[in-house]
Amino acid sequence: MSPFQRARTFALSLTLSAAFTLTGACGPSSEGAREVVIYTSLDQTFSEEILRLFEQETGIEARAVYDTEAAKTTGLVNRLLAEKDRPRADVFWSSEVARTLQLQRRGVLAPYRSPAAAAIPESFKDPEGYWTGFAARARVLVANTDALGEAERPRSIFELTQPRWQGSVALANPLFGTTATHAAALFAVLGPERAKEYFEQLHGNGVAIVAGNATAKDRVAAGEFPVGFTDTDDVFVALANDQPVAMIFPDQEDGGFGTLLIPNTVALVAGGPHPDEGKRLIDFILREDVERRLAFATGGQIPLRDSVEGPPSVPRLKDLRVMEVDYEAMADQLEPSATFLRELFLE
Amino acid sequence: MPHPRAVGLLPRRVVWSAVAVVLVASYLPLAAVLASAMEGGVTTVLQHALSVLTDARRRGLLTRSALIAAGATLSAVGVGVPVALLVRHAAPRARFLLGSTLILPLVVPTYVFALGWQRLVDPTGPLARFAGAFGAAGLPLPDLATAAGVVAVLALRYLPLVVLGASTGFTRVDPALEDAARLVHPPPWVLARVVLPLARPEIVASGLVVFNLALVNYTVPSLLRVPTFPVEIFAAFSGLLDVQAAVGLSLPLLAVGTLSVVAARLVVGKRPLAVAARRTPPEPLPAGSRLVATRTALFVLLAITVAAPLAGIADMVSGPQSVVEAYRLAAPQVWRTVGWAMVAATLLAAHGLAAGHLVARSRSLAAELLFLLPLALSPTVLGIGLIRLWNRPYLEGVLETTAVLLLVYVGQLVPFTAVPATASLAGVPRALEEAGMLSGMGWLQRMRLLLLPLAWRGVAVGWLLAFALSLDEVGASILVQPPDGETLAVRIYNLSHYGAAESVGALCLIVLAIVAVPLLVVGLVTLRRSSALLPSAPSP
Repeated sequence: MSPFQRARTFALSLTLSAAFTLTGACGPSSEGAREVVIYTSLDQTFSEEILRLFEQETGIEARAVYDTEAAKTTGLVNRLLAEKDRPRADVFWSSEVARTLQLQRRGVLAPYRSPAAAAIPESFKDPEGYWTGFAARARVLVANTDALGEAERPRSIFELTQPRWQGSVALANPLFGTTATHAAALFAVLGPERAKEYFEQLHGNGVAIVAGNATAKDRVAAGEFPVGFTDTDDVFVALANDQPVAMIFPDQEDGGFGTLLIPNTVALVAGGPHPDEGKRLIDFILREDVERRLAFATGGQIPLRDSVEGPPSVPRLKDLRVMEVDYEAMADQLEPSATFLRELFLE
Repeated sequence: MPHPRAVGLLPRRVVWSAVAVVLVASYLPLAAVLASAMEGGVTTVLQHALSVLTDARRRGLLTRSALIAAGATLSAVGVGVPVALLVRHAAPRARFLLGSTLILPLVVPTYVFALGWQRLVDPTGPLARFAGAFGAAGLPLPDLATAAGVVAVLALRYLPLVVLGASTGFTRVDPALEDAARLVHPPPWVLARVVLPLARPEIVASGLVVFNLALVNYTVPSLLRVPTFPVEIFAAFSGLLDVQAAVGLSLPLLAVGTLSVVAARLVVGKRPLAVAARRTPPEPLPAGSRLVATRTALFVLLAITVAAPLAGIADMVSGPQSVVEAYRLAAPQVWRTVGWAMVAATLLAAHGLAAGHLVARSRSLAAELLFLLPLALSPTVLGIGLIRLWNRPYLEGVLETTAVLLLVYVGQLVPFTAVPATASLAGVPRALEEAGMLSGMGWLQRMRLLLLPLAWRGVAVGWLLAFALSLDEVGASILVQPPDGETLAVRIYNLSHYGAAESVGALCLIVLAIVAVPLLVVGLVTLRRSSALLPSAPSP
């Protein structure tokens, strides 16, 4: 072999070694090690910390795939559906409830009643045990405090169809995320006809569709819109960053419509490779100290158990007027509401 | 599939391997998704496909998407070709710098690129602040949330593809031929009748790539809130979880993509192409008013296409500490993605050479379509298809490691190495290969000693594109990346949805720094080869 050939072989080996070193050996754990695979759409910042605590306490490796609930890609739900015949995940932890219900209806989930969920109100649990809700967010309005004094701020989502708010409201794409859930809930509670009328009026009033709830909050904070629809966690983040915004829990007056509460949900995947470890992880996630941790995190999730206390800034469940919605009825409306809103907003 | 005229020059096993790679990586996942959608009823899928004829709303969306794609293509070609011409006449060092800089925006993730532009023209963005500082507060800024805005952002996004393609094409033009033509005709005539026709295959090929990428692009119209056909497909997939509708609606896009390939073929024609016998770079422009005008034009263009979006991104970052912190948190994702992107780009470059050879020599429309149509493959369909195809007990492990990213990148990026390689190889005379065969050279020797030296630009361009676009891939990666195997693009994407603009900006700056390395290497090699070809300066 000539010196040139030797150099060439060396360079090629070096390139390949470098490439394989860079890619890393990211595969399943070694034989015999205990592990659990979880798919989660809760912000990685919060969920990762909880999974590391689980690992420290149990010695079971928690391998996670993270996604955003905004689901601008088809994300975890389509992944779980595609893997249905041969599941690769054990646990699905969603930051909301609608997608979990869709997965339940398509046979992706298995029932599991965790003993850790005993104190969680029944209305936040599936009657057959397919999913359990905990640590909720609420749909709220966010207002720019520089643009709107306290008395000027809207108190109800229904005010936003009035001419006063023409072109002044930001709303995340209603086909995805919690905005889609909110729309389906309105279809379920108001009835499809009244809900359609409401969205047509919003559309006619020039509501601006933006990329996601975080964007809606950002654009309100930047003063582009005086008011927007979003979730409590986005507003808590803005408040923590001293942005000029205020959080409005809408329709809280006596006899009011109430605000939609969107709990995190956790569920066991049917036929997952590590069912026992999956159950242990669900038990861990549903513990009171985890819900407390989520309440004290920047997103300020609202505890569903009276026994769990959050910081003073996070409202107690009993102090909120919550929209009375049957989650099953809401799931029934997911497709009709999405079809209607697609044609209204994607014309 | 392989044509006899192509098989004669390359061993059958090589030709069939090239075909097998694209079949396994791109078409089998598509077939798997189609098969699963058809399980629910072939009629339903076809009804959705044919709804573009009966449903006025869907027809309108498809028409709008085709018009946006055509607009973006014409704009990118209209600007990119003159830019490539200006770059061609720059001095070697300037050519290297300009070429490398103009490609840079290509490596910024599409979502972030669009976000950068949106931020730039925002009433509170850097442009408004800049105008305000110079007493022009209230300067009217363009509204990007229109079809024209989508065309503009897509054209700017894909402009580097045209600059790269056209620049590669212009290398086939022998300046001596131009000089001879200029003796009897004015420069515009020479440009229109000699220079542009010789570079036509590469220009048309890059236009074709831009058209198809713009046609299936979901990110930009979605961010700018302009309803298009890909947004409709995505709504079916993600909003309604209706795979049958999504697959059915993908078929009209595939049909438009096929039509665009046929149209491009008609434009290029089958004429044999003249080849520069001696690839002498054209003389740089002499000092004078033309040089000043050229420099000004390039400066303005660099400001619009490179500096502006990068300023939008840099505006997200408060300081170097943010970049260091973002790197500390995302180092595994950075190096995992870079590593697989390097492996994929290298394999794809080798594949592109074989595929390009097959297409260039056979001139078969079927072969051309085979390697081009993955352009119209939706990343989501590919991701779902990969799961359906590989998630089986006897294929245990394929989806368990980050090696699955290789399937994702290869499945989508085959056209990006095959197209430039085809264009470059089309300019290499078949007789040269036949002479090599007669003199007893094996196929590997012919590839290495005859084809690569003449077509290396196409291969290098393909490698760069494959590498850069691998770093940008989200749609399929997010579906198949194994647990704890997150890619950098997915991390940037997730962070952007969490509203972590600072981390997004910082990670994009890191990606730009990483991609600058291979750009620098390719640029330096080009510079060295160009310098070696220039006549030596006369001794004083």
